[in-house]
Amino acid sequence: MLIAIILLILVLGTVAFHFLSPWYFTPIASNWSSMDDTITLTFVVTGLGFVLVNVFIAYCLIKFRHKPDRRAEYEPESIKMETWLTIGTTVAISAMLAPGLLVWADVVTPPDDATEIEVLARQWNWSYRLPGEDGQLGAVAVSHTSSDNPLGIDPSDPLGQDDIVIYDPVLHLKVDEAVTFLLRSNDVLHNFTVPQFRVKMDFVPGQVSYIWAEPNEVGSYDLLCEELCGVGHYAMRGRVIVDSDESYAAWIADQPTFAETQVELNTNLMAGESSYAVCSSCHGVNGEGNKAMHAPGLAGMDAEYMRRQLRHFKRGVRGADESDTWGRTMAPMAMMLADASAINNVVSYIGTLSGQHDFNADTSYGLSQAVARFEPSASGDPSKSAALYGSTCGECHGASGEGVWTVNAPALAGLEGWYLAEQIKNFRDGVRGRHADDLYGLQMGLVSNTMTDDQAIEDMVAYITTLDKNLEAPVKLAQQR
Amino acid sequence: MEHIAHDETSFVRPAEVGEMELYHAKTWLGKYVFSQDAKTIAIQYAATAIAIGMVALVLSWVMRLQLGFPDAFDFIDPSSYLQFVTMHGMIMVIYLLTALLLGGFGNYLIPLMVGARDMVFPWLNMISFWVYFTAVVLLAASFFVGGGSTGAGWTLYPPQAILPGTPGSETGILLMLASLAVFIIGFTMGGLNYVVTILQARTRGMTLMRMPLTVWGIFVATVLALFAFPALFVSAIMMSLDVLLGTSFFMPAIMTMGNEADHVGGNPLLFQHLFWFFGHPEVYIVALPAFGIVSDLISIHARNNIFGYRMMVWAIIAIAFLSFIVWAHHMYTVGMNPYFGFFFATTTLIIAVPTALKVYNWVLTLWQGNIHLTIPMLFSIAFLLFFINGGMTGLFLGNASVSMPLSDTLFVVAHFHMVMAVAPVMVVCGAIYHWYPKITGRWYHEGMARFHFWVTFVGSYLVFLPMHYLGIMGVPRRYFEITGTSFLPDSAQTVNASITIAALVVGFAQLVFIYNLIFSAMKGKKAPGNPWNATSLEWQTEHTPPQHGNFGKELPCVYRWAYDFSVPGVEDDFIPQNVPPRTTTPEAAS
Amino acid sequence: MSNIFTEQPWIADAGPLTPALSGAQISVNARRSALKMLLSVVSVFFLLMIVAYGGRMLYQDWRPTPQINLLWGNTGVLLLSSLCLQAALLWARAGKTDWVRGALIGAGILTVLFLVGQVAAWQQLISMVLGDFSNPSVGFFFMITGIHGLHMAGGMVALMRAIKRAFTQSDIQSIEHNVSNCALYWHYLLGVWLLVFGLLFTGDNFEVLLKICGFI
Repeated sequence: MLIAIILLILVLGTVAFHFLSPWYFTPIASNWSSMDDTITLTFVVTGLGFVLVNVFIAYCLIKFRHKPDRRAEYEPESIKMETWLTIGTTVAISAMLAPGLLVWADVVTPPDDATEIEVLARQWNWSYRLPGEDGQLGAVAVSHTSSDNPLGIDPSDPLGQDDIVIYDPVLHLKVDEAVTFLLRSNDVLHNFTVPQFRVKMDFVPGQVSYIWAEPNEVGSYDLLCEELCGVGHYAMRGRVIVDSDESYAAWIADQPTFAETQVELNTNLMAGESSYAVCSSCHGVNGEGNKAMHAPGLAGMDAEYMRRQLRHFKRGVRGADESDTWGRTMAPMAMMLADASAINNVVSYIGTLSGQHDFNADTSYGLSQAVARFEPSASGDPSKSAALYGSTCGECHGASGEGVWTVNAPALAGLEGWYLAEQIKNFRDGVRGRHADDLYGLQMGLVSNTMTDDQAIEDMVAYITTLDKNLEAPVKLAQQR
Repeated sequence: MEHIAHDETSFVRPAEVGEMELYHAKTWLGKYVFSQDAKTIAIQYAATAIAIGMVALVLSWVMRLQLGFPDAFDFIDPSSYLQFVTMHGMIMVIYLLTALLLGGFGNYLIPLMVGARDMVFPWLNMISFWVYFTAVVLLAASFFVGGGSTGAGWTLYPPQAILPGTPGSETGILLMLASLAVFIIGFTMGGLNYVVTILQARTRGMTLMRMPLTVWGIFVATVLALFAFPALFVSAIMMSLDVLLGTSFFMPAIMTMGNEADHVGGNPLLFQHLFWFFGHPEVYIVALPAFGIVSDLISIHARNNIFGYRMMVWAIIAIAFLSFIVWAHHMYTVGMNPYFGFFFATTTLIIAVPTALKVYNWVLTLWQGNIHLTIPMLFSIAFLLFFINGGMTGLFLGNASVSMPLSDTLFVVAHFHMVMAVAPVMVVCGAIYHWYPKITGRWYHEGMARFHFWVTFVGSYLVFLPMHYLGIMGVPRRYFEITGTSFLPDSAQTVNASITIAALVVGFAQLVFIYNLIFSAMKGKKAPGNPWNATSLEWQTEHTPPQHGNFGKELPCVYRWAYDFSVPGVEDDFIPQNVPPRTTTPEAAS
Repeated sequence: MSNIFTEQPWIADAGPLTPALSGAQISVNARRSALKMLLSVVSVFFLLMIVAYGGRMLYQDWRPTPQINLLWGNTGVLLLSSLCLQAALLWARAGKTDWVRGALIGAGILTVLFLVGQVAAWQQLISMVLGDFSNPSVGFFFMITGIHGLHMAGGMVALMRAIKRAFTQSDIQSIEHNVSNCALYWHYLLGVWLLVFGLLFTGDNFEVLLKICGFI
């Protein structure tokens, strides 16, 4: 008896849960409402079957439960009944299969007028490429890939020169325009999922797969990787913004072509030096940093990382949070850099700096201070965090903190301990990395959660500062003086 | 019933011919460790499988702790989370369920149920267990090597499985592949044994169509496994060669950690095709024995013949056949040629027909029955609920376009746990309680068993039902945590936390189960030889537990199927298979 | 009597109409049955590798493995060893124990020769590709020949037992069972080899393969 009642409770509870709980699909934002319809249909058919069969079981359990005088009725089989059940089931299943196949036929055939956009996924970030004026994408190959040409576009292919490249995880789409996403990976399997679009597809290295959708609601949507791609899988986030025609036009006008990005590589160090004059008041003439001003040493910092951060400061992606005192100090400084090439120039200039304190200019600065700046942090225990660094941080930033450009992870070795600790805490507390467009910041925010308290962060910083093998240089310089 | 004398000319008495020669152990080691008695081997298989399964259970607790209460625990980071996910899945599917259902139940029940003294190749059977044991040791060893066990997911997809960025991509994955290869070799030895025993060593009168459905389920699942495992074996070899020799079976030209790798021209999808050519039948390797066993449990405890026995047999065979042509329904969104979707969606939904028929026949066996709500019966009913639920969600995922929004989300996880984790485990538990008196000669503790049942039944449902809805909302699977998204309400985390609590409670109940099994084997009440009044041959043995050689001096002779329950005109509500017809005194019964 | 298509299992009968098989007969049947089952499993195994190979061939960048002439010789040796076993089987049936012994030993020597030849072919290939295994066709070559070789080596265990039995037992019946199982296994692996060699390794048979697979 009890089992029949519990069974009924569970079955009816399931139905109630389905209808009463607030948890269901995200509101759809693409043309694939037909998928939602087939799902509703499947819910109706399977739900009826589920309830009917289980209620029948509960009925049998009550009606035919053991009693001393009961005897089961002997009936080996009934071909007739089994035939009818087979036919009924087949009909029900066909009712679900047929519409499903019709929708699938739409899935496999993108409309002819769909815009093609290439999405490049790699561990653990996204970039995009749109055809330029010629309407065609240029050839690509893994062998052309480098930090200067992250998409691996063939420099000799004229079709590729006007391709619009977006080295940022945020993609804009025009509303009510069908898009075929050409999915390309150059490392492992990934997946392109925007929950509100309903469709998804994997990236397979060595081939280009595709999926199409027509976004029909203006808005900002999360882009997720849903094929396990390694340690950073859960933090591989992107964003798709569906724009009205006007805002799309404004956005696309801002995006560089491949040829432009190649031109930008030719930098003007002189211009960079003059821009750096402003920076040097906090970050030091040699890019050595100033802890009192919360200005980190810049020399030796990853160039692509600095370019990105300057762009972020400029656009208010970083340094906009109320509690980010020092980021808010930096933001207006970055505003002074007019455009991409100004950023590029100053970053290139920083690349030439020694990072050593100017001992001649400031005689009060002693050897011990010079060395202390680069010595391992003493407030944490590196042995406690070595394992976590190896299993988590090192997967992006490199086993010895050297940074890995494909992952967009800057070098950590050589950064000052106080700065590391401050930034990790900023990420953890959401002071940094919570802007909707700062998806790498979000990534760090997620990963910083693996350090459960302040002491764990101190331990990690202590470990990272042991990775810096370049202690001799400042010592030698100080001694020369 | 009328008493009619035998027509002597139409019957040949069990002849006094030399029977199968049994190996008699002379030493303790030979009797208990390197035993060649299928029953001892069965218990060795079951004990090893359950032991490693407990490890996987603990891994699931740790995973659930992270998902339910993210960042509250130091001992789990994204790498170890993926390692736990991988090992949990692999252990549960292969090293627990496959080994327990085929190696454990298969070994114990096949010879007894078909009326054989033992497996036809007892020595090979013994080796098969020790090879399996080696595979388990290799697997467990991967926890302790540098870099830890592999974290590539139980599907082990290349290229990531063997590239930096995935935990255990150096040693862990190689140990996993080696362990799988060893497992397959061991299984092939055992599997040939089971199949040949059923084909060649059935006792007289035991036609194929008189075998209990348990034997049918195990038989067809074993054949399925024999033909499916080679695909996994080939892919394990190919991936090992990619690592060790630098071949490019699965490795195209790629970048790794900022540099170009040394591979060119491989195809990652080839692995997925091979893997799922094994992986889909694997679902049925686990499910078919459970189907068979649950048929017998329902029939015996409802005191009713299984309804539509012939249909049940043909459904098993049809499912087994179809399971080889549905594999790519795991691959709708992996970037294969999408036109394959039409074919695989159709075959997949066709497989639902024989499966649904089995469900109808189980339910119709309850109809007009005399249902005893014993522990095995309770577990069988729980199986029905979980299996029907999981089967229904399978119709979502098998239908290419319907599956698209749901694939790679927790909906998939919830679905396969319902249908191929909890449902077969319900049968395994029911089966253990059902045959426990025969295997140990003692009763389990009824109170503990009921506690175990109710907690597992209700608890598992509370774990996996809400999980579907997390998937429907769009929570991806294999995510260490889901914070930082804009489309998930905060309440999603509440769901996750409640699932975790339910999972921990269910996990605790399994400890009670294990305690009950061990404690009752020593202290339980003595059980009679045929406590359930069952008809199949294992309940008709001379001794309980059955001794080496299973039956008495003479092998039993079979006159009828195993489902003669409540036959009209007969006083008892059951007639054992070895009772000749038309006699009122069943003399041949032990 | 017991036809699984027509049998109505719920009908009891008065008892079996045939006498029981002896344990020895069951054992002989079981071995034959197990061998057939094993060969079906091995067929799936090779089939999957061949299909994987064929599928990979369809890609644009396919580069075939360099031709190794030694394989023709090895094929001949394997053919001879299979013939030896067939002869041994015929002689066993005719009761000529001495001839059986000779043929079995001949088969054994030829098989070892085949395996040595395969290893030599490997060495030739390794020097041809300069130790670079990144070409998929080379990878497939090593894997398929390697696995075929392992199966031959495994068969040697059974063959050694058959030889031992042929020299220690006088009961020609029991020798015949062993010899016939060995012969079946050898013929089967010869067939696999001819398929694999003919289809995949004799030069560039791409067109033929495509036709067989139904692509053109």
